[in-house]
Amino acid sequence: MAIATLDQYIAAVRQRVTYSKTASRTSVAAIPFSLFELAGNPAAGVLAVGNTANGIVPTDATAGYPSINNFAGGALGYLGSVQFGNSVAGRITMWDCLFSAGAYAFNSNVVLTAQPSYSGRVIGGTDFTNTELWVEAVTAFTGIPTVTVTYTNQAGVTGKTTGAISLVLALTVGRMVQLPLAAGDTGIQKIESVVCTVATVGTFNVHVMRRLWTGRVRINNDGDAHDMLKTGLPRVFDSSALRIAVAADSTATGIPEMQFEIVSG
Amino acid sequence: MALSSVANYLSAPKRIITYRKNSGGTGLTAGQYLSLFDSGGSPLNGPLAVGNITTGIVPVAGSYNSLNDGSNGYPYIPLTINSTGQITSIRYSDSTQSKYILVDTLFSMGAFAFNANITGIVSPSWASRAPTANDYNDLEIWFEAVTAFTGIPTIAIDVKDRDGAAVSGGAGVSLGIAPPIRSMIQLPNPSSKGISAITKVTCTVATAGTFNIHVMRRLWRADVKYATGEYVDNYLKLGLPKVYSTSALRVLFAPSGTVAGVQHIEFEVSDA
Repeated sequence: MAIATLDQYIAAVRQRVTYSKTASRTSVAAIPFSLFELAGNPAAGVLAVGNTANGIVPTDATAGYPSINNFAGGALGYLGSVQFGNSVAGRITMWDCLFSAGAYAFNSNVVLTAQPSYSGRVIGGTDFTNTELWVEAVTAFTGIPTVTVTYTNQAGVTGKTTGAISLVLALTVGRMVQLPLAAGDTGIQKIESVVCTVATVGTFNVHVMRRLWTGRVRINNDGDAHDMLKTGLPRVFDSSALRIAVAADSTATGIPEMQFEIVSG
Repeated sequence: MALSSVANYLSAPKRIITYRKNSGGTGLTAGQYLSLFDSGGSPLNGPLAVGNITTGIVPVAGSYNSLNDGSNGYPYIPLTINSTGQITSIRYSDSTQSKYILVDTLFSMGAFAFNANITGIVSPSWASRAPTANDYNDLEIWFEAVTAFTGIPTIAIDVKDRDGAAVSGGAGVSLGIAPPIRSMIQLPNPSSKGISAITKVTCTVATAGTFNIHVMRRLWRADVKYATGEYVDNYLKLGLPKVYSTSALRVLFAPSGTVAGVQHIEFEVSDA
């Protein structure tokens, strides 16, 4: 089944997922920062993934991600609307976090093995395009890390690499940096290895994420509501690990509050 | 019954709930959510202190005559065909720039003292106000200051999650401020798996003040971007949230400045 008409959207089974953080993080203007281990609703997660050898496929049952009720058999889920606000101006972005590995040390050189597949969380089970590769600082860095990630691309070609990417500055806790893929690549099926050099202190996670939504809070204490025409009804799974980052206009991530409507039918 | 089509929505009887508060206020903190519960207007002001610190209560909607019969502070939900409905439109305006959160108050308990240490709470079930069986995922815990605090309180809440498992809130969380009366502060959930019961409430550090604890289901949030402007959120923006004839609707209010204005909100509920 699928939601293909306005009537089907209205008739869909709907659930509301709230996401509010009650603590703010020191950040850098216009740079996305993770909120994952901050207190709030959902309760704080653990920033370090806890698995560097294989990685994990996080789900809504993983601590730190909001719970999603199971969809009825055969039903597909969609992000129907988002109501959002923040105590500070900035951009809020949401992904489905498909794969996580870490925390890797500043001098890691790890070839992953037996990585779990996240094919169950991409459209049709085979469409790995539009997946993104991100680094998340778990502890603060001394020195500017250079990270190289080798991966299998969206088409299943192994041995593809980001190249050695200098992250430009010493990352602070929670800072997120998107890594480029090799020319022509549009997604990632699997992370093969993670290498970090140059920096002398610090740890980080690597995530593969599928972008679902973004919205801007124009001024402090502002917000908005995006209906299905604005969200575009992106697909959500009942196991999706919804992850939020805030790129504030100033130097704190603020107290964001959001409510997602997930419709299934 | 839930709405199932545009035609169904168009033909559904619409019930209007008016929520108007006019008591104003000064000396407020920009962006800080406040309770309007004991403010005059429609519905009439209710008592800020819940009046139960042993088990708590599941608040319910006011009566039809709640404008003139000594209201419990919650608006009447005029669902006459079914016991549930869906909010399909909200029209709102404010004399000051501000933001709102609309909630169904599922559980309330208080007023606790600044040094409360209440354990072994057996709270009444709010399952009948969960949209689907055992759907406790989207619930939030809020602190409400009944009287002003001296000192910065640390609040610890233990809960049961959606599966009935006990989850400790540990040493609790400092609220960061000495909350003035009516301050509403969201507390972090101890569990990522929803809240089906409150089992412990403690408050430490502060030396004066009283407070309520509420479990709330968020239905809507909105911003009044310009003072005196009027806004309408339709069903696509709202996502058709479900309400019950017993829902205890509250509006939390946060001014963008230090002065509260007059809030006028009309909820359209489709009775179908």
